[in-house]
Amino acid sequence: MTATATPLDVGQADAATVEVPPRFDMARRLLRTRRLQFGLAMLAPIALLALFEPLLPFGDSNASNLQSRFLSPSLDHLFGTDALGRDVLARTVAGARISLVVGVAAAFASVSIGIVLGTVAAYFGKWVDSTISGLVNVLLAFPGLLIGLTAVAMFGAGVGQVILAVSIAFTPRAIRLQRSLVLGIKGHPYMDAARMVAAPTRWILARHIVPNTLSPMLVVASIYMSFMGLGIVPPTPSWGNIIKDGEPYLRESWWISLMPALLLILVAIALHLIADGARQVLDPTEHDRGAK
Amino acid sequence: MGGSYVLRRLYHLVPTLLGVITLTFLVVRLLPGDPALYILGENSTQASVDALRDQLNLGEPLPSAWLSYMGSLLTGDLGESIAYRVPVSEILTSVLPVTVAIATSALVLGTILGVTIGAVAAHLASRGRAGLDHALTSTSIVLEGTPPFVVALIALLFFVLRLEWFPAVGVIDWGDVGGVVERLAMPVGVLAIGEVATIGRITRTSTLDSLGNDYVRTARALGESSVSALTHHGLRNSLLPVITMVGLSFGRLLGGTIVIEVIFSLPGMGSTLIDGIVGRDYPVIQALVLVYALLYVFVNLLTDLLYRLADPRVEL
Amino acid sequence: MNGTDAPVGVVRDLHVSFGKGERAVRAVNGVDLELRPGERLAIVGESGSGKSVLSLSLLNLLPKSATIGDTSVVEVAGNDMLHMSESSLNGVRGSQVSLVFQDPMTSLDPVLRVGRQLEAPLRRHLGISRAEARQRALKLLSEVRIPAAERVLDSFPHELSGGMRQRVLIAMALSGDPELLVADEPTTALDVTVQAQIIRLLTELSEERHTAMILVTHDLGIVARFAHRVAVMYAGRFVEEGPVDQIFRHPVHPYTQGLLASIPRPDLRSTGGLLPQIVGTPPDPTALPPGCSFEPRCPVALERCRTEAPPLVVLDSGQQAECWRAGEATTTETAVAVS
Repeated sequence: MTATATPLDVGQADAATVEVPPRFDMARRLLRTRRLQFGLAMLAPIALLALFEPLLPFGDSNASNLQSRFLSPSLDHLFGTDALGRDVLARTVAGARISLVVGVAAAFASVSIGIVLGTVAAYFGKWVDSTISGLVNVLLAFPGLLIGLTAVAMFGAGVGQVILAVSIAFTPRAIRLQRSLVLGIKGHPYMDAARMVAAPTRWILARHIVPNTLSPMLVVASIYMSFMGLGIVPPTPSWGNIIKDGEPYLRESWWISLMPALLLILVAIALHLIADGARQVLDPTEHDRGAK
Repeated sequence: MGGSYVLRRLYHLVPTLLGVITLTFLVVRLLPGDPALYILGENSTQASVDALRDQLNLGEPLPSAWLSYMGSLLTGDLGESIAYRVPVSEILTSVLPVTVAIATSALVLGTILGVTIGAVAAHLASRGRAGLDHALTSTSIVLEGTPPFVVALIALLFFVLRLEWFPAVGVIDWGDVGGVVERLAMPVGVLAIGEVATIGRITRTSTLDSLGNDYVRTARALGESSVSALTHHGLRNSLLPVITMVGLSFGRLLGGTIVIEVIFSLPGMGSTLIDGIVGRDYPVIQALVLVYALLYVFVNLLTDLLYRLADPRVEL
Repeated sequence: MNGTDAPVGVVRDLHVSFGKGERAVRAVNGVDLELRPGERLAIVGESGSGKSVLSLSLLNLLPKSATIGDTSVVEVAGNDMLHMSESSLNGVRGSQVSLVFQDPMTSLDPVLRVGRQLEAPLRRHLGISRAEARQRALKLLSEVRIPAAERVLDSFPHELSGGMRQRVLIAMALSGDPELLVADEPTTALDVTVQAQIIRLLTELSEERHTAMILVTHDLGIVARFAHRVAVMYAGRFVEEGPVDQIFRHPVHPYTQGLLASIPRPDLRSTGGLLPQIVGTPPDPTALPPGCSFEPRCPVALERCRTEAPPLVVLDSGQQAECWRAGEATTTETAVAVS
C-alpha cells in the first residue's frame, strides 16, 4: 500500500552561483546580435582600408593635378576629383585614418581617466567625491561639444590638441559612469560587484569601453570640429576639412563634399549600431523589446 | 511644499553655476603666454596689446578679477567684442533668439512626432504586427545614428541649392513670419529628425513596458478597449521617461545648432561662436559659452520640475 | 445552493496552450465547470497548475500567443466568450463578469486618482455623468467597507495601503453589478490579517448581491469559510471537485489529501512535529505524461496510473475525482511522505 514515492526528477535546481560568462560566451552572444553584425559589417571594410591606407595603391592624397580638376566620379576616380585635381577617394581614406586615430586615442584617454577618477570618487567619498563630482557637474553643464570647442579654441590647431580637446569633452561622462558603477547604482549591485572582482578586464570591457567608446560622437567630434575650420587644418586631411573644402562647389561638384559625407554617415551609423547592439547584450537593465 | 523643493534645487545649483562662471572666466586666462598677445597676434602694436590687457582685466590678480567679472555679469555687461567693437550683449540680443527658436522648434516638433510614432509602433508591436514595428524601429536606429551635420549638408545640397525650395542666405526679420519659417524650416527639420528617432524609441519601449503593466490588465478586465487602455494608461505613464529625455535632448540640440547654423548660414549663437573662435574674439567666446550653459541648466531644471509635477508618486 | 436559473458560468472541454508544436506549453487540459447564480467556487492549485490561465479564459483575456482548443466552450452570463467580437467582449467585461487580480500594489494606475479609475468603468458601462458616477463610486466604496470614502476617491493609489487598494479593486470589479466575479489570488500579496478580512468581504458581498464568485488560490486554508464548492486543479485539469465540507472531510484524490495534510495546524505531534509535504514538483507542461499527471508524486500510485489516464469517478457525496483509486475506502491518515 505504501508505494515508494519517487520524487520527480525535474531538473536540478542550480545553486545560486555567480556566473561570470566566459569570454567565448560573451563574444558569441555579442556577435549574434544582429545590430552588431550590421554595424561591424559596415565598419570593418572602412576601418581596414583606413588602417592600411599607406600601403594601398590609392595614390598620393596630396598630389594635385590641375588638369583633372572637378572630375565627377568615374571608374578612374571613384569619388571624383576636387578643386585641385586631387583624388577624393584617396583623401577620404587618408582622412579616415586621422579621424579614427583621434577617436580611438580620445576614447582611450577619456576612459582611462574616467575609470581612475570615477573609482577614486566612489571609493573615497566625502569631500573627494564632492570635488570630483562637482567638477564633473560643471563640465557637463555645457551642452554638447562646447567644452571641446572651447578647448580647441584655447589650444590651437593640431592633431594632439584635438585629441586633448575631445578627451576633455568626454572624460566627465566616463567619470560619472564609473562612479555610479562602483557605487552599484546601476543594475544589480551584488552580481555586478562579484563580476567586477572575478573578471576585471572583461567587466571594464563590457560596462565601459564597448558601450561608450564606440559612441559615434567620439569619431564625429573631431570631424565636426575640422569641418568648422578648427582643430585639424589643411594640409592634414580630415574628413571635416575635406567636406569643408568642397562646400563652395556644392552645387556643381557635389561629390567633393558628399562622397566623404555619405561615408561618414555609414561610419556613424555603423558605430551606433555596434554600440547599441553591445548595450543590448551587456546592459541587461536596459529593456529594449522588439527589433534585434 | 512645492516651493521648498524648488528652493532646494536652486540651492544645489549654485555651486555648479559658480563653477560654470569661473570656468568661462578662466578661458581667457589660461591662454598660452600672454593672453592679450596671443589673441591679437604677433604683428600687433604694443599699444593695442596694452589696451586689450586693460579691457580684459588681465593685469589684476585672479581673485579681484574674478569678482569684477561676476560684478559685470550681474549688471549684464558681457564685455566688448574685439572684432566688432560692440558690446557682446548687443550681439547676444540679436543672435540668441535665433538659436533658441531653432532648438525649441526642433524639440517641440521632434517630441510631438516622436511620441506619436513611438506610440503607434508600440501599438503595432502589441498587436503582433511585428514586421511594421520592426521596420519603424530599424529606421529610427539608423536615423538616430546619423550625425545631424551630414544630414544638413545633404539637405542643403538638395533642397536649398539644387531644388531651391528654401533660401540659402538672408537675415532673420522677425516681423516677416513667412520669411522666418522659410529660413528656419530646413535647420529645424534636420535637427528634428534625430529627435524623432530618439524620442520615438524611448516612447515605444516605455509604452510597451507600461502595456504589460498590471493596471492596464485591470482596465482591460473591466472592459476598456486596448486602444483606450493604451492612450489613457499606457501613454501617460510612458511619458514619464520621455520627459526626462527632453532635458537631455535639449542639450544635444543646443550643441547641434552650432554646426547647423554654420551650414545654413544662420545668424545665431552658434555661427557667431565659431566666428569668434576662428577670429580669437575671446569676449564673445566667453559670453556665448556661458549663455549656452545657463540655457542648458535652466532647461534641465524645468524638465525636472515638470517630471515631478507629472508623477504624483514623486514629491514636488 | 438552489440554482433554478440557468448557470451563470459554463466551461466545457477547455484547452489552452501557448506556443506550437512539440514544445507547446499546455496550461489548461480539458476543464469542465458549471457555476450557478450566487454560487461560490474555489479553485485550488499550485503555481503552474493553470489556474490563472483558467481565470483569464473566463474573460477571454488571454494573450495573442495563446491557442484555445476548437471544441472548447466558455459561456458566461449567457455570452459565448470565445466567439464574440472584441467590442462585444469589452461590453461584457466589467459589467457582467469581472476579474480581480492578484497584486493590488501594481494593479492601479499610479498617475490617476482613485476616483477617476473607479468612475471610468461606471461611466463606460452605464453611460452616466461624472457627478452621478462619483456618487455611485462613493456608495461602492462604502459597500467594500472603506471609511472616509471621499478622501479615498481623491487620493492616488500610492497613498493607500495594500488592503485598501484591494478593496478599491473589488469595488471596481463590482461597479457593473456583474453576475460573476472571478478573483485570482486576491489575498496572496497581503498580510495574513488583511487576507481574512478580504475573504470575509467577498463572502458577504456575494451573499448580499447574489453574485457568483470564483476564487482562485493556492491556499486551501482560506477556502473553507468562503466556498460552496471546491475544485482542485493539477497540471491543467480538475483532479477533484465537490462540496466544500466533503472535500475537507473526505478528500478522495491523493493530491487533495496531500494538500490538506500540509495545512499548518497547531497539533503536529502525529508527524513528529514536521509539516508534511508532497514531494517532487509539478510536471513539465510541455511534456505531460500519458497517464495520470500526479502519478510520479503519488504515494499510492498503481502501475496502471502511469500508463492510463484515470477516469472521472463520481461519488454519492457529490464529489468527483479523476483517480484509479477513487472508489476505495480511504482514511484521513494517508501515507503522505514526511520530509
